[in-house]
Formats: sequence, C-alpha cells, structure tokens
Amino acid sequence: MLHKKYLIKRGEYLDSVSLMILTSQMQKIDTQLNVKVNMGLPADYKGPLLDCGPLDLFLQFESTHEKLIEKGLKEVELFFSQKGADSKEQQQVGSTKTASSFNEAKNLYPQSNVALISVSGTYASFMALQALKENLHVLLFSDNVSLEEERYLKEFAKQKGLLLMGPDCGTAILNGVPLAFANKVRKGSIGIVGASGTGMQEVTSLLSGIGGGIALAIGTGGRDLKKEIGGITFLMGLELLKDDPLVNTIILLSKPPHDEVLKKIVEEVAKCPKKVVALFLGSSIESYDKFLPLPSNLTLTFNLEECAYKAYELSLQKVVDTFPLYKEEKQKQKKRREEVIPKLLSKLGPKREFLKGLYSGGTLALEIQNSLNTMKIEFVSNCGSAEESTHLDLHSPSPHHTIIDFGEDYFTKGQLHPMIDFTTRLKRIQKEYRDSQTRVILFDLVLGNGSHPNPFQELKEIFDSFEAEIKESPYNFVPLFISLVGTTDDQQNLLKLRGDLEKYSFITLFKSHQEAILMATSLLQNLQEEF
Amino acid sequence: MSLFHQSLNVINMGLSSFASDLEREKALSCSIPFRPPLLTGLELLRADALLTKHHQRIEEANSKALSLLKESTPYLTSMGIAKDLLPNFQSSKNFKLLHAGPPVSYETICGPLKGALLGAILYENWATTLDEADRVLASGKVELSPCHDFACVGPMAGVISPSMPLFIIEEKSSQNKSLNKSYATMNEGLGKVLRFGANSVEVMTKLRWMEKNLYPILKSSLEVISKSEGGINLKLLMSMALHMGDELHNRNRAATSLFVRKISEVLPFLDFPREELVNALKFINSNDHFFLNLSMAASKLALDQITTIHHSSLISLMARNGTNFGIKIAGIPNSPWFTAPSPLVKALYFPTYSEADANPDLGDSAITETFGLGAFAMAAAPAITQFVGGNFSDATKYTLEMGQITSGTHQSYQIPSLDFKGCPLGIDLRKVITTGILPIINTGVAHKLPGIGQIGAGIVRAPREIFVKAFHQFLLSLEN
Repeated sequence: MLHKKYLIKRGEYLDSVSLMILTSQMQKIDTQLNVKVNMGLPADYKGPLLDCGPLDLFLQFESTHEKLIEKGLKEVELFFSQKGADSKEQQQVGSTKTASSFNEAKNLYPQSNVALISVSGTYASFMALQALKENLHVLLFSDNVSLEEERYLKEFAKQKGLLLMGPDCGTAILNGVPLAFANKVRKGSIGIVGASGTGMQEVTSLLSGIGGGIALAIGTGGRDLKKEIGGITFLMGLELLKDDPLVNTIILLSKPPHDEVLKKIVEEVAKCPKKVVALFLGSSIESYDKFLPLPSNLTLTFNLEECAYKAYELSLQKVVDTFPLYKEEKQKQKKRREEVIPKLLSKLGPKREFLKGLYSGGTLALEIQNSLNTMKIEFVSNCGSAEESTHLDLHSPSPHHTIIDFGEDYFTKGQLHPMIDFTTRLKRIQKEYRDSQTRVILFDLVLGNGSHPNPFQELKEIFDSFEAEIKESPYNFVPLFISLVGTTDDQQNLLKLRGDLEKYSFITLFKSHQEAILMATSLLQNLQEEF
Repeated sequence: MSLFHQSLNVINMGLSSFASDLEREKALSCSIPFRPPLLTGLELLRADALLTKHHQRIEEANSKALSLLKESTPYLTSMGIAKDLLPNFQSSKNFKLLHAGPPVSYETICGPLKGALLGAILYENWATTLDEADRVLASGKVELSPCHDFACVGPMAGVISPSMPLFIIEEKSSQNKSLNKSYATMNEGLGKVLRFGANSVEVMTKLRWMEKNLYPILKSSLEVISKSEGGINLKLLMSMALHMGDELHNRNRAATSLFVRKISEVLPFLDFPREELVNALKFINSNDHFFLNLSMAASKLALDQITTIHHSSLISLMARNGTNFGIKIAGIPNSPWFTAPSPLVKALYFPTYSEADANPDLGDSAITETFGLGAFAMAAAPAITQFVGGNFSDATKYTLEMGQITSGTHQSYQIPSLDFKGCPLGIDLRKVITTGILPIINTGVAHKLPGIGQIGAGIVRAPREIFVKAFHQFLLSLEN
C-alpha cells in the first residue's frame, strides 16, 4: 500500500539553492522513498485541502514503507536544525556583514558600487530597482524576469548612467574581479561586452591562456539585443570601453542582434577609434550585407576561438591583417587531427554513427549547431535552430546527432544548474556512452567561480567504469571530447584536472571548443568513407 | 564612468556562494538577506512608480499622522453604561451587540465568539436558555457590529452589550483639540469568562457583580480623581509599565499594579461597605491583565484620530473576530475592512492542549500592536518571551524587525533594553509590501469550543493577503 504524508512548514522560505539542497538530501535517503519539495503547493497538486501559502514550505512523502516516511520527517527536522545552527554560528563569528535593504547597505557601506542580485526572478526586478535607486550598478543574475520588466529597468538605469547587466546575466569581470560565474583571467587591454555567459567564459579563458588579458567583461543578459530592449546595456558597455584608457581592443559577443540594433551597433563602432572584434554567433557573412560598407576597424569572426585569437593579435597593436598566430594555431590543430583521428577510427566499433553534444553552457551548444548547419549535418536539439523542429522526447538517447543544452528549462525544472550539479548530465553521459550507436560524445567542463569546486570527484567513478568496460570489450570504446573552459588561476586547479583526465584512454581534452567541434565532425566525415 | 577605476565593492543579494567568492576576492561590502515582497514582477515595479509619484503627499500625511499618535495623551476620566454612552445603541426594534474584529455573520461565527454572544443575550435577558439565545441570534433579531465602529475595543470575543459598564478614555493632548473618546469594558479575569465564550451561571453571576458592585466603586474613584487631576493619565502609567517589563498586550502586571496604586489612595474614602471595597481590590489584584482593556482603549483613541488623514499609508486598525482578520488604512477615505481568514497562532500550549484544539486568532487586542505596543515592544518584556516560546534575543529581534515596517518611533513609550529607544510606531503599508515583513502579534489562544477558555499563548503574523488587498485600494485612492 502506498503511504503518503504531507508536511507544511509555515513561513519557512527557502531560496532556490537551499530548496535544491534539501530536495537532494531528501532524495538520497532511500530509493523507495519519494519526496517532493516545493515553495507553496505544487501546480499539479491534487491532494486534500492544505493550509499552505506561497511562502510556506510544502513537503510530500510517498513510500510503501511507513518507516521510510518517518525517516524522511526526521531528516527534514535535522536539515532545519542545522540551518538554524549555521546562521547562529555565523552571527557569533560575525563573519558576514549584513544590511536589511540596499538603502541601509549604501548608508553603512558608502563605498559600495555594484549590486549582485540572484534571487528568484519574480522579485528580482524590484530588488534591482532598489539597487539602482541607490546609484549602484547591477549584475542581475536572476532569470524569469519578463521582457517588460527588463525594459523598465534598463531605461531607468540608462537615465541614471548606470549599468544593468542582465537579467539572466551569468558573467562579468569588473576591475579584475570575477562576478557570478566567471574565471580568474589575466589583466590586460581587451574589453568585452557580451550577451552570453559561457561564451564570455570561453573567450576570456582562451585569451588568458594565449597571453592576452582582460580589462573588463561587461555582461548584458541574453535578450539585450532584441528589438524590444534595443541593446541599451550593450551600447552603454561599448561606449564605456570606447572611453576607457585601459582598453585598446573591444570584443562584442552575442547571438545575432535584431537588425535595428545591429545598425546602431555598427554606427557606434564606426565612431570608435579602437579596434573592434565582433562575434554574433549564428550570423552568416551575408547577414552583414545590408550594413556594407562595414567600418574599417571592425573585424568579423564566426566562432569563439577565432574571436579570441584575432582580438589578442589586434591588441598587440602590430599590423596583423593576416593574423599569423591564429593561422599557426589552426595548423597545429590540423596536425593534431591527422594524428588523433586515425587512432580513434581504429578503435571505433561498427555501426557507431551519432554525435552527442551534452552541454552545460548554452553558447557552446549554439556554436556546435552552427558548424553542423554549415556542414549540412542534421541534428536534434532542445535549443537553437533545431529546437522547434525536434519532436522527440530528448530526455533519453535517440538514434540522431543530438545537441543538448542542460541549462535550458527542459532540463533544469526542479534541478540545480548543470554547472553546479552534475547529476543529470552524468546520468545522460553514461546512457549515451553505453548506447551502441554513439560515435562520439562532446561535453564542456566550465571552471571558475560559481562552478563546481571539484569536478573530478564527480567524474572519476564513472570514467573508471568506462575504462573497465573498454578493457572487457574494445567494442565498448566511445571517444569522449571534453572542452575545458577555464584558466590555471581558477580554484579547480586546471593543471591537475587535465592530468587526471588525460589518464583515460577514451578522453581527448580541448581548450578550444571549436577545435573539439572540428575533431568531432572529422570523425563523422570519415564515417561516410566507412560506409 | 568612475566605477572602473575604483576598487570594486559589491553588495550581494541571493546565492551565498557568490558572497563567499566575493569575500575571497576582498570585494564584498555586505550581503542582504532576501525577503520576498508581497507583490511580484511588473506589478511591483508599477506600484513602486506610483508610490514614487505620490511620495511627497504620502510622507506628509504620514508625518502628520505620526505626530498625532505620538502626542496622544489618553486619560481615564470616568465610566458609564454602554447604552447611555454609545449612539443608537439600543433601538426599540433590534437588539444590538458589539464584538471584536471585522463584521461577521451567524454562519461564520467561531465557537468562542458564539458562546460569548449567547452569554450576552442571556445577560441582557433577551432569552432565558442557551437554546433560546441561539434561536434569537440565528433569527437576525440581534444586530451585530464591530466594537471598532463604536469607538470601542474588546479583547478576545470582545462582546459588549447595552447593560455593560464601560471605561471612558478621553484625549487630553494639548496639540489635539478633538473631543475624541474611546471605550472598553472591565476585564473579567482569566479562566471561564465571557470573552473566551463561557456563558455558564458563574459567568453571569460575575458579570452582574461587576455591573452592580465593581462598576459603582470604580466610577466613584474616577470621579474623585477626575475632580482633582482630570483623571488617570494612562500615558504616564503605560510608559512607566514599559520600563517595568510590561508590553501592554500579553504582559500587563506592572500596569495593573500602577492602576491599583492610583485608586488605592481614593478607595478608602468612598462611601461603600469596606467588604465591597476589599472585594473590588481583590478582583483587580487577581487579574494581571486588568489593564489590558485600558491599554487597548488608549491605543484605539490615538489611532482613531489618523483615519481622516488622506494619503497616509499607515495602518489604523488590526482586529480579529476568530474567523477573519481585518485591517483598515488611515489614508483611504472611509477605509473599508480588508479581511482574510484568521491564522492559527504559533503557540505554546498548556498541558493536555494542542493546536488541534485551538481557535484561530481572535480579538481587538491587536490594536496595541497597531499602536507600537504588544509584540512590537516585546524587547521591553523579557518574561513574556519565555511564555510565547522564544528567548530574550528573539524578543529584541522581533522589535527590531517591526522597526523595518514602521515609519517612526514613540517618544514617551520606550524600551529600556534598547537604550530607551521609542517603540516602533506607525505600521507603513508600503514597507509591509516591499519588505514582505508581516506585523507580528503576541496573543493568547482560545479553545475553539465555547466556554473552555485560554489554552495557550504565542505569536501570530497578520495574513499577507489583507495587505495586498489594502495596497491595491491604497494605490487607487492615490490617483483620485
């Protein structure tokens, strides 16, 4: 018999992360105990009438074993007693300075200049407004903020000469300090304005790795270049970089802007005395036709790696029309392919056809989609160009080239973001790895602030089992291409991580995602020769 | 932009991991713990815009209101019988009874209130048995009105019937030339009493004794005191009581003692048999909450005066009838009641009782919190915090928290442990909405069945829906 028990904790508001931590603790108790945790009654709730408001914590326990339900209830109490103890401890140690409002915070700490807001989207815009009223620039990490709210906030910010970075802005680097999800990069003379978090992470990490440096990375949030927003933050950022004496080269990074907005951007670039490198990921060269002639200081690029290299070379301020460093890198990559591909082909079993891209960063998922589109390779996906045409349930492997963005709602409803919690992605990597039709798997490991502090700990067990399976039978071999996004200064110890991962026979590491794409698609081309 | 050439100092609101990362970089100013406001998204932004537009008017109105509240000087001057004091209180056609909280109908009356109303019907001899009383009540022959509509306040069921004696509290502030008055009954004591829905013979006997014996004695005492010094200055007593560990809602022992001290000078000279005078004193001495009705009436007197100040965002009233919780807003002309179901109190229960036995929140006594006393002054009453299940640092925390939703502080009513800071005064509806902090109330809990009495005490938060409803109405009233 299935037992059900409800528990309401009145007024016990948990933020999204605490909620997830509680949920995952509950779910670890026993596989025979099903626990649902929610703020307020869940949308699909059909049980008895409960006195539960939107700010009350709702818990539902289900099990055929009553003892497990009791255990669950005890765990809940333990969670809350620990939570209370933690905060009491903090108060005693006095480590965290707090204020009750932005107004109070500005009065107590008048040197404050930026607000970092990551609360639930329903309330985030109001909090951002309070911060702007106190003359603070805002990094609005929260998503689920409506387009109208975004417009309202950005007009307000513009009027006050303040930056509103967001909503859904995951990355910024200001004055050398990484904010939210960002990497510890070398300081230098390149400034970036970007509407894409992981895109900025990849570009800044690559730049840092080849000797370049960042003065500033200004995030704008993913929708800034839509017609309705008109690029308010993007243009303000461009203006700032134009005037900043520490910046000599500017990178513009985004998905393709609305034409009206692109027009404004091109006009501003023309007025700018500095070199500008633009990557509007997904644009073809033809999409710029209506803006010809393009300003002479503008260099168009079509993938993240190209953008990073060209910007670096321009920042060196020698005459570089031919971009020799970039050319050299491409040569190196070609050579590497010539070495690696035959080895992989010799290990690949028969009937392995499909490419599986399992991404935590949306921009990287788009980048590979771009390449696949250019090569006219069809694929299914939960994001980007193939999202609408894909009519499959993407929660399980399928016999198609597949690109998945695990950061999309499709997968994140009720889960932590994949950059923090690997559970969902790891489950899928295992499924895909053991699928007999998988030819190659690509995934990204994004390091830096905000990301999981010890990724290898999460991966080791699974990779060990893959290695063991390959020893049992070579037919189990599937190449795994890992794009490492990060710098040697990030907390995750990049060098050690590389060392740990390289030990596996099936893993190939890449610092550039574009290189991983080329390597993977080369494997597919050889497929046509095989059959 | 100068930002980029200064050191970065970030204020974090949200994920604590971001704050730790910033601290590592030595770029964290502070963190702001997030509390969800009562509205969301675009609606909240629009409301904020409206409030900004009318900011000046609202602030001026609140300032005026706050002034009146601070200046208010309640004097207990005399007593009278309800039907003689209250306008239209006894019509020839209908019987009239007053009760605590917002308007209520027969179908929705909670147990204790019903018990009290039936008791009052018996007391007035409108029926001779409980069954008959119930029929009278159900028939609609009895007109029920909130105490608040008649400048009265009543704790718990708060029932006032025409024959009941009332305290008369008058405004004597030099700034205020109004002729405001407020009224309240004498507190019956603890246990099986009318205000908890008890209506047995003992209850009737006590009520009649209070009417026939206690009332004349107190009335005479007040006549003497009024003649010599204008009445009993309740402001003085209340401010002293706060210095002595009372919060004037759930803890009234000091104030009651000060009251007795005041009348003790006069009682021996009154023309009543000594035994009756002693019984009167014994009655008051046995009830540590005797002063409650007076602190409620004093609060009512002040708050009634701000109800005509248009555009004030202050809350002028909080009251419960055991079924619904209601508030009114000072700045909404002829403010309607904004109501929602009364919550259950987060309480400590007396032995053998539990939440399953509890009646939802009940009584006009939340008027004390509305005036900055009671739970708002909890830091002044350490003894009470143990009783309501917390500890002393919780008490201070609550008072400080209420400071975030009030627009000012009292001058005369101070809290010694907070360096004699004034009690948080003037609950600002705007702040309740934007901070999400709901006013807190210290209260006793009644058994949900009539006639059993108090079964515990604890803390309750006013329900959020009423503030949202009131806020929408307030915004509309601004644009007119």
